[in-house]
Amino acid sequence: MARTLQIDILGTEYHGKREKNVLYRLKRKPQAVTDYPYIVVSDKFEFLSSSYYSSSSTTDLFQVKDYRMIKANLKKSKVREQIGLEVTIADLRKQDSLQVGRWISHIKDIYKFCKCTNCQFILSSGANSAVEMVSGRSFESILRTCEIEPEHYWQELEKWIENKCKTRVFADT
Amino acid sequence: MQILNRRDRRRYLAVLCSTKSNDDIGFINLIKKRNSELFGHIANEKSSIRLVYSDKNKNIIIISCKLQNVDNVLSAIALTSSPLVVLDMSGTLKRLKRRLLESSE
Repeated sequence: MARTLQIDILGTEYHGKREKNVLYRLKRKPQAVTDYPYIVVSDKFEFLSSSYYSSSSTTDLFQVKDYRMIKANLKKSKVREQIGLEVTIADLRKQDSLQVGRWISHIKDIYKFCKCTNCQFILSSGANSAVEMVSGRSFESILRTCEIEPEHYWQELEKWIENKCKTRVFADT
Repeated sequence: MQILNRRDRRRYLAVLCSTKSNDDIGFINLIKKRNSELFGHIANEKSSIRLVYSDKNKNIIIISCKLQNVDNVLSAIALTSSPLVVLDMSGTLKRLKRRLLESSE
């Protein structure tokens, strides 16, 4: 399905079996070395801040859910560099056009913020099943609607994923 | 005398529908409604979204729209309330059908 939709790497939860071209999303960093590539995902705001120093502050990806709260707090606090800020499309499907319009405005601001703070903006489908997935071409159209150049976006995202996987030790079998 | 080609260029989109329905027009109306809400009635009319073909066994419909509005239509499809997935896109119906056949094999 992913190949049909022109998506090279999928992000999904780990269910005990490693598959090709999948980057696993974990809530916590595993204690031991894994045989699969992963990123640590969180929606807790404190992990986003550079002032939060802890052994557990290994979050790679922050899920943006409350845009207003995030926008208000991002201006105040210093954000850790190279962290990914993820926004999902799935929640938008049931919202009215007014909310979608606002979302696009938020996306523009978050993208600008990411550019300024050396963070990675990530647009995700937020799909729970195959029929909720979004094709690569549709992603590009939504990015263009948000005034984001798709080519730059894909290049930056590829680099970011490469860096995350490079710095992380996992036994490649 | 040179004759100008006044035909608009179109794109054909293969869309996977999430639910089985005999009402293909219902899906088209859903896409048109969202497109109209997001980009306006005029842009929606200019998009000229049409149902071209429907495969009820595979839950796939093929729609066409004008090339200049294809970004709007793709965004509208991704943001419809009933999940619809754009499987492929092509400039000709023949090529799109061939690619769908290849990917299903």
